[in-house]
Amino acid sequence: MSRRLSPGAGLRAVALACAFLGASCVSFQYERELIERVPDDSVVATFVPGQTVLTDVLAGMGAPLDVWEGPAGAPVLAYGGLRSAEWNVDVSVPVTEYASASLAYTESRARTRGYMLLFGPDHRLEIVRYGLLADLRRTYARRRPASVDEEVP
Amino acid sequence: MRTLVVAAAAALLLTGCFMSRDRINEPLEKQRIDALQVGTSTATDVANTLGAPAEVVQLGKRSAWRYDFTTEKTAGFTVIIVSFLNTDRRSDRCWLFFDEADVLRHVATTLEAADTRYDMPWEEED
Repeated sequence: MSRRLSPGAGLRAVALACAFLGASCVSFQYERELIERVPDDSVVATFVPGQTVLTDVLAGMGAPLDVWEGPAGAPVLAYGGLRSAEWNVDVSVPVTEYASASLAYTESRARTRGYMLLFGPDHRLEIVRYGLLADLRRTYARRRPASVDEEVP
Repeated sequence: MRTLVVAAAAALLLTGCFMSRDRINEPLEKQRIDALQVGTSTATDVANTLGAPAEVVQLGKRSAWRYDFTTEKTAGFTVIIVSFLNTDRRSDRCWLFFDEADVLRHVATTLEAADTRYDMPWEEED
């Protein structure tokens, strides 16, 4: 024996579901990020450490995403782009009457990867590395002594 | 049938589309960059032509200046509690490298800010 909902009951159920979901503290988000253009591997493959000079790299790759000072004071160029697509779940939890905490869970954390090209003092290419640009910068940046604040009497 | 119509109407009413655009700095003018002469122009010439750089990097006794203009376009839609977003960010960048005497030695320019698009997450990238 089947039982059918009356049109009025169906309407109430839909309205109730919409009210519940619309006011929910949980939301889902699918986000794609396209950040800058990803460097062309085939162009980087033509660079030869010891032979390629700064002018060649700038002509082939264009303006770098970042430039920093290498260990010997020579330039380091970074080229990279980010492509990520991920689902996020946002959960808001009421804590007190006047405040709430928000917890955001991200399935994967995307970071910018790319090429780092380190030059010597004569602006000749010495090292090419591929990886997370933030990590490469920490490894291949010149460390200068921190400034010291002096107290003026 | 009536329930279906109500459900469809509710889904329609609880759906929202949105678009936004962010811009950082002013667009780079290619003619101004092209007016600079490698081997002749000085840092003062560059500052007079392009204004203050966004960043100055010390490279031993040399230096490099960065100028950039970034555009970010975000598009998406929400169905009740599920959102679909696409963020596209590209920039115009110009790096100028100076020698110890502050003479311009290298210029590299990439102009891609105009390629930024309002896409949906499932659309193919150019």
